[in-house]
Amino acid sequence: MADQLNNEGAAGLIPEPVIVKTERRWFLAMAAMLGVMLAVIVLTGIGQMLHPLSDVETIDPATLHLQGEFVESNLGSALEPDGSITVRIIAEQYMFVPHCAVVPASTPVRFRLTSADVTHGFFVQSTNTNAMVVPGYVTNVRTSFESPGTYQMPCDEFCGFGHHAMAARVVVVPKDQFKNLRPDERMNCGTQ
Amino acid sequence: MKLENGPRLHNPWGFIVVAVVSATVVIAFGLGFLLLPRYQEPRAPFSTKDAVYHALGFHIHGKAFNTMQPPPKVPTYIAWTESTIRQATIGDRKSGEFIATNCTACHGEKGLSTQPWIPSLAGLDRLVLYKQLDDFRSGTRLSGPMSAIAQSLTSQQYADVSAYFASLPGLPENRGERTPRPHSSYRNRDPVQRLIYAGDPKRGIAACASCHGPGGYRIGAPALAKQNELYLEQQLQAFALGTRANDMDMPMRTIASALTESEIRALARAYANENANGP
Ligand code: HEC
Ligand code: HEC
Ligand SMILES: [Cu+2]
Repeated sequence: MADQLNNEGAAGLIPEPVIVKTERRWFLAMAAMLGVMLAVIVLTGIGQMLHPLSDVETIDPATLHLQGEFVESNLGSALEPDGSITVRIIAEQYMFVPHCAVVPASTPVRFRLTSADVTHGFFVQSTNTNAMVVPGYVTNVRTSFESPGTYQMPCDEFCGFGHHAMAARVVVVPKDQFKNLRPDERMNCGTQ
Repeated sequence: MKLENGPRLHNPWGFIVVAVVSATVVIAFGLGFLLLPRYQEPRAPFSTKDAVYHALGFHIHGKAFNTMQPPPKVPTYIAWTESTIRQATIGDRKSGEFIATNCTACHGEKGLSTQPWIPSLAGLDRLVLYKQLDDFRSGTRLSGPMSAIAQSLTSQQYADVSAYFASLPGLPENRGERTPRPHSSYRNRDPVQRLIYAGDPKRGIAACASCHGPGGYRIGAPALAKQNELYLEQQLQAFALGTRANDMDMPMRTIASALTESEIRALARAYANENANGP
């Protein structure tokens, strides 16, 4: 009896068509909000060419210096047969090695990084790169630099006591000033 | 029972939902497995099978790389694997004390060296001692007297003598005591203290203390406090020039070559005159 009265009372206060209309309005508002948020994600993703790494490449972090592509003589910039550049860097507590890379402008650049100890972050100022460097895996990131200059490359993943000082640089030189490397030659700021 | 009268068959929603979901799945697979993998790797024209493999996370573009590597240069044959760490820490202190009678002439009674160019060994980490001895033997660290001595010992004897020297009181063993130090910041006015405790991010120099202590620890990094000043200075110069190149993954060569001559001298002095609690 009491329920009935309440129902009748509520129905009496707000007529059902009004309730339905309000619900529909709020539903549309929520759908629009969701739509905007999804669009922001998708559009920034496409616009800034952000995409997750798609490969899983494993590597033993304890023996980087003994074998494979991250031995110290193979670090730095390498020229590929198609004219693009591959830069190999080790991230370790608390530095990048080499801590200054040289690449030519307006050329596809592929960064290949791996960690010797804990998870570090790879990020080059004003590019679309931003990835974690996880021990045991190779981080493979492609980008290119349009204008010459010095780009900061701080570790953006807290990695311990000395993290705040872990920062490297990428020096982008005009394409015609970049040394024509032999296939087995590697370069960084120190060897230039 | 007449099927056409069943309420479900007249309801189109079931069909619509199934159609929308399957269309989404098909489009997503087409995008994710066929289209995007090709777009992401422009230099490796994929077959359909390769594109699917790539999207699943298998590494298949290796062949697109320049595989010509310069001749490899090995900084040290030690790798910090579990078995190496076990091998380096099973030493017997008693036999080590006996072996150490060959060392005291240079490294001092009780491992505290009195000659400024010879390092003290007392209290150094076992892993550090073991690694340096192995490097002297393999020639990745060059030194006149030490290579011959290291070649006359076995790996087991390295572990024994390391256990002995590590147990002696002397240099503060670098165990990575994790308390931050007061005033260890960029606000410290002394530039050498700043380098030791805060590093120099602009030049990519990490704080020495973050690997050598006090406060931080990195495997294989020797304690520096109270070490001989001349020895520290010579080692830093050797790292900077590359004449000492046995640091795994190059931390010390990277740092030392970024330091100036006067910073090297000042750092060596600060560490040599440090007390157990830090400079
Ligand atoms: C003839 C003198 C001499 C004798 C004997 C000698 N050493 Fe040495 N040792 C040196 C010198 C000199 C150095 C520094 C090498 C350098 O400058 O690179 C050194 C360095 C070392 C180091 C490297 C320390 C560090 O902090 O990196 C270790 C470890 C070592 N010696 C262990 C031993 C052991 C163990 C023995 C005995 C079995 C021994 N040494 C006997 C002269 C000697
Ligand atoms: C990223 C970690 C790290 C940082 C930061 C670091 N070091 Fe080292 N250092 C090492 C390691 C590892 C070794 C041992 C190298 C080897 O295996 O032979 C070493 C060795 C040394 C040695 C040789 C010691 C000996 O007994 O042979 C000296 C001297 C030294 N470091 C000084 C410094 C100074 C000064 C700083 C600060 C400017 C510094 N290090 C910063 C990791 C580091
Ligand atoms: Cu880091």
